[in-house]
This record gives sequence, structure tokens and C-alpha cells, in this order.
Amino acid sequence: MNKLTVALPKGRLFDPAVEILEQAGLINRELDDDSRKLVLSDPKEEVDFILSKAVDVQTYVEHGVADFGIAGKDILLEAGATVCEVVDLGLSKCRLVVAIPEERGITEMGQLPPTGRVATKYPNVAKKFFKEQGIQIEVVKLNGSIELAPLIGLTDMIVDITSTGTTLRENNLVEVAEIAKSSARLIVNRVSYKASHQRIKGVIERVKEVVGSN
Amino acid sequence: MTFDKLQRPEGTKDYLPQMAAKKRELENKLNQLFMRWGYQEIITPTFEFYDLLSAGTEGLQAKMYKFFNRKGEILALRPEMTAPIARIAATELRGRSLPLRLCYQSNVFRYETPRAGRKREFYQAGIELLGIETPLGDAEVIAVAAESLLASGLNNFKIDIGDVDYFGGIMKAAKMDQRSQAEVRQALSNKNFVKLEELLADSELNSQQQEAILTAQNLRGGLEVIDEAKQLVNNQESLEALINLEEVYHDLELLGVSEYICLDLSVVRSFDYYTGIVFEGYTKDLGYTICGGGRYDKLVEKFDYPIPATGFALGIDRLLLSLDNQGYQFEGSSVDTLLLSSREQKANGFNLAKKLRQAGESVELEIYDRKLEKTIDYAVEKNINRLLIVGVEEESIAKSSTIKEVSGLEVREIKLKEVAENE
Repeated sequence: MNKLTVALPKGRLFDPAVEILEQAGLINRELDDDSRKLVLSDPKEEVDFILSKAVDVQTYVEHGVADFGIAGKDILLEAGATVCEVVDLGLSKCRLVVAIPEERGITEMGQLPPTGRVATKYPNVAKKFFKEQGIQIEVVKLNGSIELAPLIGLTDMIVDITSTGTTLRENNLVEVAEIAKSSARLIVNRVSYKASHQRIKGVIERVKEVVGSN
Repeated sequence: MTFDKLQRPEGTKDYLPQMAAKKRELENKLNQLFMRWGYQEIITPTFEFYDLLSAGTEGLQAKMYKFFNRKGEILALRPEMTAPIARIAATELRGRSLPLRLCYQSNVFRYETPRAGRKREFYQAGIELLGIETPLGDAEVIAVAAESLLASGLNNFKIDIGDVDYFGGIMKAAKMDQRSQAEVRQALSNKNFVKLEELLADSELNSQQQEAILTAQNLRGGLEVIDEAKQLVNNQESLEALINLEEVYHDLELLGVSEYICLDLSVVRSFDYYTGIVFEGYTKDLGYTICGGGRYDKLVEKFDYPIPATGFALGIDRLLLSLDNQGYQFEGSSVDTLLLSSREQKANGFNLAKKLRQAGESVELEIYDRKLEKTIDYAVEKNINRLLIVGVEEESIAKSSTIKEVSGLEVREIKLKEVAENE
């Protein structure tokens, strides 16, 4: 039997993701994302684990160096990776939204100016969305504290993820449109899905059961 | 950032001698195989009118390299070979007895972000079979695809076959609009099950039809897939697709390649010109598919010549990579002989080289005047088989060489493989 390789995202998603895979029987050992070793193996089950930065998981899976991975839908949308998205794990639920300072008095897309500057960590998602809406924008890519940009006049609005809306409210930003809903997904390499179908299908079924019963 | 003219443009590749030799060897094997099936090679322009290329390939328009000629007409580098061949079939080869069997080895160009298995210039080998609408036409093309992978020396590969009309039939029966159908097809092609379930739940499909799509996309294997899928649908188009697929499979059994075939209804390919059977080949030693193809009965019709067609293309770079991953040994391109002659014996030396070349041996002349050990170093590094020495007498040569008669001339020979091993 061939070894399966699973790419796990370090950080916030790590513990809940590992828990699901443990319940599904794919992980049978202690895993810690503080580990200095980045490749861990589980010889008994013939599974290797790659500890990856969350935004890189789909890259490993797309190239086929990992068969499975767990990645947020927001990251998958931004990367445009060609991978099979097989199960919604229901973790890290959030929404990708367009938000604008409250004082602008704009509450829906139609009222947005025909051109504008948008700060975001998700330039591809933002460009695609606004293009579909027929609105021309200029993207300013930031890596964090996106809410800051409109407050100090760097941009007119932001595209970012929000779960409870607290951060937006605290920074006097209002949501004007939802671009997509996001949550963590189990992803599979396209060839692995075919070439090791029986085994991969088994894992998918077990993960689905675990997610369904949670 | 400073511009470095010594860099290759992103997405391009150099084939150094060793790699170029592998590529040539592979292309020769493929060409030979295509010819044995009666396919004739065709060469088309690297650039054509953008309108022609774009009629053939919806979805690739944004990825074409475009430019103007001095008349202001828009040209583009070909992003694939099917449209140019359809053009030729509809014009220069129009009226020839059908079927047409054409093959090619070409570079194609797509402006896309270089990522897993995608380059901006890459090489394809492929065939097109025009004028046949029966399942045997599909079977022939798939059999050539399987034999191509086999001839290349690849192990552990499979070709998945599906039929786009199976899912199309279900969606048409539910009167889904074109846009939603395209979305479902996209989700199936990407195997995005999360999206697929969302789309189906929001669609006009009844629960039985949703079930038929969800269950069928999960079926993989031999003929049992068709029996199971038949139980899931009752519309004519889907049933016909299954019957068609069944017949293609039977033909593939008779053609002796069914062991490489797997039926998978979820293969729908991303080009939207496909109209029936579609397929893609892969090996577990590469994370993306190696070849793909299918039936495109409406394409040549766009050029006013309504003939059915089917074909496939294989990515040379991807196949080379898979073979490398499997540790395949290529024959290589080493030079047989390096010939060193003294100034006095030049005429004899050149004459000997000529005779050896005529006999099929590759012979390099030593042109530098350098120490013998330097000559040997050069030859060893270049993996040359042997050194032949005409008329040079040095003590060091006498020790390491043997006297030999080659084509009536007495020479000294040094087997470089042995020199390399002793180092």
C-alpha cells in the first residue's frame, strides 16, 4: 500500500483539524504544531504529515506532494488552486465581505463609487468580485490590520473576512456586500483521488461521518 | 527591480542536451506509434488569427498571447492544436475521403500563472480523427492514447473515460438553464463536492436527479459502473450516453487496452467544446494529468464543414516528468568516439572518422591541441565511449591504450568507461 501524505495547517485551525482527523482514524499519534520537525510519520498507519503554513497547504496538494490537506475556503478562493474540495469541515466559519466606513453612508453595492481603492489580503478574490459587479477598483495588498486602511485614508474600503463582525464594528466599518462564505475544507489532489480512490474514498466517508455527528 | 536579460521569461524552459535527447527520443517513439495507426503528421503556423483560435477554444481567450500585424489584424500564438487542425480540415483538406487521421508534435502557448504542471510554452503530441461519429472512433483514439503511454515506457498509468452527455442529459431533463449547467459541470470537473452539493440543492433538479448526479460522480471501475448508472436515470440522453460508453469499452477490450481503462462518469474536462466521450490519463507518480481528449462534434462545423471529430493531446513535459519520477532509463545521446590525430596523420584520421560515421557511429574530432590527460578529462565529462588516437606516440599513451585496427588503419584505443571507473 502506498503511503498517504497529509498537509496540516499550522496555527488556529490546527487543533480542531487534528481532532477531526483523529476521530476519523487518520491520525494515530501525538501531533504538535510547535514541532520543529515539519514532516512527521506514522509508520503503523503509513501516513506522513506535513506541517505547513495555512496559506501553503493547497500548494502541496496541487503539486501532489501531499494527497490530502485542510485549508480555509478563503485561501482556496484566493489561490485559485486546482484541487478536489471534498468535505466542508464546518471549522473556522467566516464570511468574505466588502466593508466601508460608516460615515460614508453607503449600505449597498449599488451606491459604491464607480472607481475606488480597496485594501485586502485577498487581491484576487477582490478583483474578481468587483469585476463581476462592473466596478473598477485599485487593490492595495496588505498583510494584516486591513481595517486600518480606510480609517487613515489609504483606501476607500476593504475586503476581508469577518466572523462575528466585532472587529468591523469597533473600527466603524459597515458591511455592504458578502463575497463568499468560508470554512475549512478537506482537499484532495486530483490524481490521488483517482489513483488511490478506494482508500481516499474511505477517509472522506469517515471524515463526513465525524463532521456530521459533531 | 533591475531587468536581467540573461533570465528566461517566466513559464519557459531550456532543454539542455541530456533533456533534449530524452524529449527527442520520446517524440520519435510517439510519432512512430501514431504513424503505425495510420496518422499523418501535420505542421501548422505557430501564430494564427485570434478569431480562428478563439472560435475553437472558449475559455482560453484570456490566456492567448495576442499581437497585431501591420494591417491591424489580431494574431495569437496557438494555445492548442485542435482549432488549427479543424481549420485545415474545413479548408485545405475539405472534400478528401474521410476519415482524416492527422497527428502533430507542437509547442503551444498559454499566458497563465506558472504553477503545478503549467508552463507558458509547452510541448504537445496528439492526434485528431475527423469524420467518424461511431464509438469505434472514440475507442481508436483512446487506444492510441493508451499505447502512447505504454510505448513511452510509463508504468502504472490509467485512462479515465466519461461521457459529458450523461450529466448533461439529467440537467436538460430538469430544464436547468445554461449557466447553472455550466456551474455544475465546473464543480464536477474540479471535483468540488462542497460546491456541487450546494448547487444541486438550489437547483430545479428533483431529489432523484440530484441523487443520480451525486452517486454517479462517485462511481469508478469497469462495466459495473454503467449498470449502476443506468439504474439512476430515466432520460433518453443519459441512457444513450451510457450505451455509447459501454460500446466504447467493449471496443477497447477488443483492441486489447481495457486493462488501462477506468470508467469514471465525473470526467468532464474543462474545455466546453467536448460533446460526448471525454478522457484523461494519469499516473500516481505525477500530481496532475498527463493527457486528455475527447469528442468535439460541433467544432469543425463552426468553420462551415459539419463533420464529427475526436482526438487527444499529451503533454510532453508532463510525460517526461512522470518517466523521470518512475526512474525510467532513456537511451541517452552519448557520443561514441573522440578522434585525436597527429598533424602528420590528419588525412588518415579524417578519413577514418568519415568511414566510422558512414557506418553509423558518432565521431567527434579533437580540435584543441592539448595534453592527452586534458583530452581524456573532456571526453570522460562528456560521457564519450572511447578515444581513438592516430599517429600520436607518447609514453603515457602507450601505457593506457591498446593497439587496434579500425577500418584498415592501425590506431590506439582508450576505453573511457574504464578510465572513468578507475578514477
